[in-house]
Formats: sequence, structure tokens, C-alpha cells
Amino acid sequence: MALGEFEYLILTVAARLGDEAYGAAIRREIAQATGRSCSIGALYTTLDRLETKGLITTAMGDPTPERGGRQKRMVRLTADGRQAGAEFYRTVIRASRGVAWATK
Amino acid sequence: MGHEIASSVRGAGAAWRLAERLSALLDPRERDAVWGDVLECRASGPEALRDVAGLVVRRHAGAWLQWQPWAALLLGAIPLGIVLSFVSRWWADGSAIYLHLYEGRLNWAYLQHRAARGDFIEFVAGLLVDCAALAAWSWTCGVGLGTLSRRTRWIAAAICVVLVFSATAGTTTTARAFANQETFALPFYGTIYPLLLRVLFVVLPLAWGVRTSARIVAMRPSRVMWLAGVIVALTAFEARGIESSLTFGARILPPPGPDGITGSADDGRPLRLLPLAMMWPAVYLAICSVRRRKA
Repeated sequence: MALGEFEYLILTVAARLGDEAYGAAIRREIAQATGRSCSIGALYTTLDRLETKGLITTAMGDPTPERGGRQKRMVRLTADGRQAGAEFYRTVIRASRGVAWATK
Repeated sequence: MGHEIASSVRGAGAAWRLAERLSALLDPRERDAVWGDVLECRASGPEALRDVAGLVVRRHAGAWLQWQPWAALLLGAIPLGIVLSFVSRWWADGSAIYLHLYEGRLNWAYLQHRAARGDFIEFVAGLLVDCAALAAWSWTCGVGLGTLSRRTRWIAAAICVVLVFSATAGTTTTARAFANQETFALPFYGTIYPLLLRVLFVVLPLAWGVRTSARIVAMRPSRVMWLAGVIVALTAFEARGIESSLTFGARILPPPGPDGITGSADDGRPLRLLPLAMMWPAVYLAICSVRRRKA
């Protein structure tokens, strides 16, 4: 299944965060990895798209005090999501063979 | 501890208040999660506003990728808004002349004359029916917009309202001809009364219809069919009035033939079908109700 760059970023971060993958945490990780802020609008609409593709599932998690008692939108990768992420990574590795910035 | 953080971050800035108002356009559960993310990230007011506004715009823009919002706009809000604009303005101008005539002259001595009494009752009854028809069409238009595309219902309603007030701009009616200038020279009859009629019998019923659309469609089909039947009958009864309004009153049609609606050989011409478009929201409402019941 074709993935976009931002979709891959979300899948990767969610896979690394595991049980702690939710909106704000994913935003923080993406901002750290890319050096750019990630808007809530872009994140939530992409989560919807990934869920429609069957690559993730989302559910409302427990509220926490630091969130003003508001719930989180928890994210879990499906088996298809893990496979799609792995394929994207392999594709990037294959396409980057011999490229100058890939050998540095 | 969480609430102290929330209150210290939020403060009382205009950006926060605007972000809160905008977030009302999101689904409740998503709104909760978004505000939680905003608070956890300790965003400033402008950052919160940017985040919330961005999501609201994306959600509503995404809705327009479906066919339903376009159907609501092109088959509902735009054509019905235009017709409601013409009809409300025509009926306002027509009734303003009589209201001005009766103003200051209506008293018991006048009403004791049988013919005068009959004229007055006919005028009042006609005005009440016209206003009821306007309100009924506007209400069903609102319900239709709310049913066809829930997410974009308020945008479609807003476009309809803009058209109601602007579609007749730059035009006038035969009611405002030279002979009636004394009436329309008065600010109340020339400007305020038509605006009032549109607000009370078009805008408010339209908004109410949009707001209650989900509940109306969920009503028992027999009730909805009854409502739809009344509105269809009302539309047929008022069809010639609608036609007159669409020609700015210039083509006052001859009385209808024996059937009172579709015309006969002694009519100037038969009724056109366009005015009957005002009944489509009521018919659509009835169909939705029956389909929902069957499902």
C-alpha cells in the first residue's frame, strides 16, 4: 500500500511509542525528529486517513491531570500498518543505494 | 495539578476564547482530545488558535469532497434562497400598501361596514397564509439542508440567508410604482418591514429547521407525511403568488381556472412548474423519514 512521507513518520513514531502512542506524544516525537512543528490539523486528518486504510486503529484513552482531565486519542498499529511501514523503509533503503547522502 | 496548569496556560486571552468558540465546530470527542493535546503541549493562545482553526478548516474542507454538501448547496440553498428572496420581498411590498392604508384608519366605525370588514378579514387571512407559507418553506429548507449534509449544514444555511437578503438587490417591484410612493417613502415600509418579514418568517424558521433536522427526520413517518402534505398543499395554493414574485409583480396572472391551481383555457397561460420547487424539501423530508423507518 502506498504511503506518504508524513504517513510513514506517524507509523514509525507510533510503533516506537508503543502503548504510549497518542496525539500529543506523536506530535512531540515528530517535531524532535524533523525539527519542524507538526500541526494538530495535519496529524488528526492523517490519523483518519491511516485508519481508513486499515493501517492503525484509534481509541479514546483515559484522561490525565496534565491534560486538564481530557481524554487522549490512542493510536495502535495494525499488522497491515507494520507491514506498510516496513515496506516503505525497505523501498527508501533500496532507492538510496549508492546515493551520496546515503553513504555519509 | 492539571487544572492549575490549564488555568495558568489559558489565561483570558482573546485567542483562547476564539479557539474555544471555533472548537465547537468539531465533534465532541475530537474536541476533547484536541484540547487535551493543546493543554499538554502548553501552547500559547495564538498557537492554540492556529491548531484548532487548522483542524476545523481541514474537517470542513474535507466534507466538501463528498457529493452531499454540493447537492445541498446547488439544489437547496441557492435556488431556494433566491426564490425565498423574491417571494418575501414581493409579499412584503404587497402587504405594506394595505398596512399603510389601514394604519390610523382602522376603527370600529370602519369595521361596521360589511364590505370593509370583508376586505380587512381577507387581507389579514391572506397575510397570515403568506407568512405561514414563507415560514413553512424556510423551515423545510433548513431541515433539508441539515439532513442532506449534516457537517456543512450551517455553511449552506448561511449562504441561503445571504441570498435571501441579496438576490433581489438592484431590483424593485411594481408595488413600489409611482402610485404607492407615499407608502414606500416611509422608512418603515420601504426598508424595515421587508427586513423584518425576512428575519421573522425566513431566517428564524430556516435556522430552526437546520437545528432540529435530525429530530424531525427521526419522527414517526405518519407525522412527517402529514407535515409534508400540508406544505405541498400550501405550495400549490400559493404557486401563483410565487410566479408573480419572480416577475417582480409585473405579470399579475389572471385568476386560475376551475381547478384553482393548474389553470384552464381561460387563463393567460398555465402554471409553470418552477414555483412547485418550493415543495421539494418537504417531499425529501417525507422520503428520508420513510427510508429511516424501513432501515
